[in-house]
Amino acid sequence: MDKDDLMKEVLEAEKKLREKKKEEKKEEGGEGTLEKYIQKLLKKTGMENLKDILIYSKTEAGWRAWLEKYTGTFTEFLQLYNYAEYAFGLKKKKFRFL
Amino acid sequence: MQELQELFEKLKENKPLDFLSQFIAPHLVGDEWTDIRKAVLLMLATQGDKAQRMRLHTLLWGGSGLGKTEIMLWIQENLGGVLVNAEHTSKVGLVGNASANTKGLLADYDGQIVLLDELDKMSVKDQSGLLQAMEEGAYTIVKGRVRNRYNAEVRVLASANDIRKISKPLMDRFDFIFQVKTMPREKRVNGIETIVKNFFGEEGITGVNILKEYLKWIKDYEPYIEESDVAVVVNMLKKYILLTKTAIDGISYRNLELSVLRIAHTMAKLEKSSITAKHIEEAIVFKDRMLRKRVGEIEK
Repeated sequence: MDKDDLMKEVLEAEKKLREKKKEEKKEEGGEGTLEKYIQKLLKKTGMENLKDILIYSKTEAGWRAWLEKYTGTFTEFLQLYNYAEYAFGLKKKKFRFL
Repeated sequence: MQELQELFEKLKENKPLDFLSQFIAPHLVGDEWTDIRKAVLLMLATQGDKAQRMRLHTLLWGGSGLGKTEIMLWIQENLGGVLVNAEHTSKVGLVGNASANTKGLLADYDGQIVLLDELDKMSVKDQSGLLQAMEEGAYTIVKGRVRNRYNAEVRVLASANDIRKISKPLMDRFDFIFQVKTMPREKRVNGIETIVKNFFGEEGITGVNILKEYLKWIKDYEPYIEESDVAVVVNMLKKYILLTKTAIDGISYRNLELSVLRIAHTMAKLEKSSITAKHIEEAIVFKDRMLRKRVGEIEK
């Protein structure tokens, strides 16, 4: 098979896969997803509430090490942080790296 | 799903190693990355191999800022590897501590791709535990009369600035060792367009989801060898050892003959086919090209 034709076919399939994943994410829902994520986080860390997790470590290095162990990306943390700020009135100055 | 199946059937007939490897970290520029991408793809393809010694491991070494950590970050983000740096291990320990009763990070990463940044800065103890994990898929911690063994079936992509600080046996267990260098300026200009486009947010060639699905598709396939081909393989390896101009005399069996077989096995797996003379030949060529860059040629 011609390499260019194969590449075209692969890129087309890739596009479809991406769209499918996007749809799946949408179906999971916006705010609900964060809620589920927090529940999962609490279960994994064994902590009782989100505030305990957020004050557990205040430095970027601490957060990154912690995130590496329990979650995945820094974006997820930022999402979580914004939520926490809203929910508990935490101030950003506590987290100087932001 | 049916569509993907049909696509994969086509892919496996069209040199999947060459084709799919171009989707790995496409933003990195330079000819040397072509072989590094292939090595990484082969390493990824050994995921799920039941046989103990089939796992492939890769080491990248060289100065800072040449893309070693970059490829690790890309893999972590797109293919789900676990990035561990020396600073982290100095606190937690890759293999744990018997007196503190900790099992170490490697046991947590059982079954995963481990991306070890700055391997040369890791302690001797961690390096020796890592060797056990890479070789046997497990490591042992001894405390008094108690021996604790932890499963750590890992595939390792490591980076280092100075390979003199890595123990010889550990170096020996890396099937692929690449030195990453800056390119001569004539070649360097070829990469500028990619760098600029990437800097301004253009993604480049993207097929990472297809790559992931393809790897899932081949995951449980176990390549076999026809009995009649065994003698051919033996002969090919014998000829290679006798005739190559690469200075292989200091290279161990584990790092040459066994490594060629592991690579050929994985090449066949990528094509969902039995192991043939063609795979052995391709594995020899690939391994020899890499070795020659590292150890040079024999003196005439």
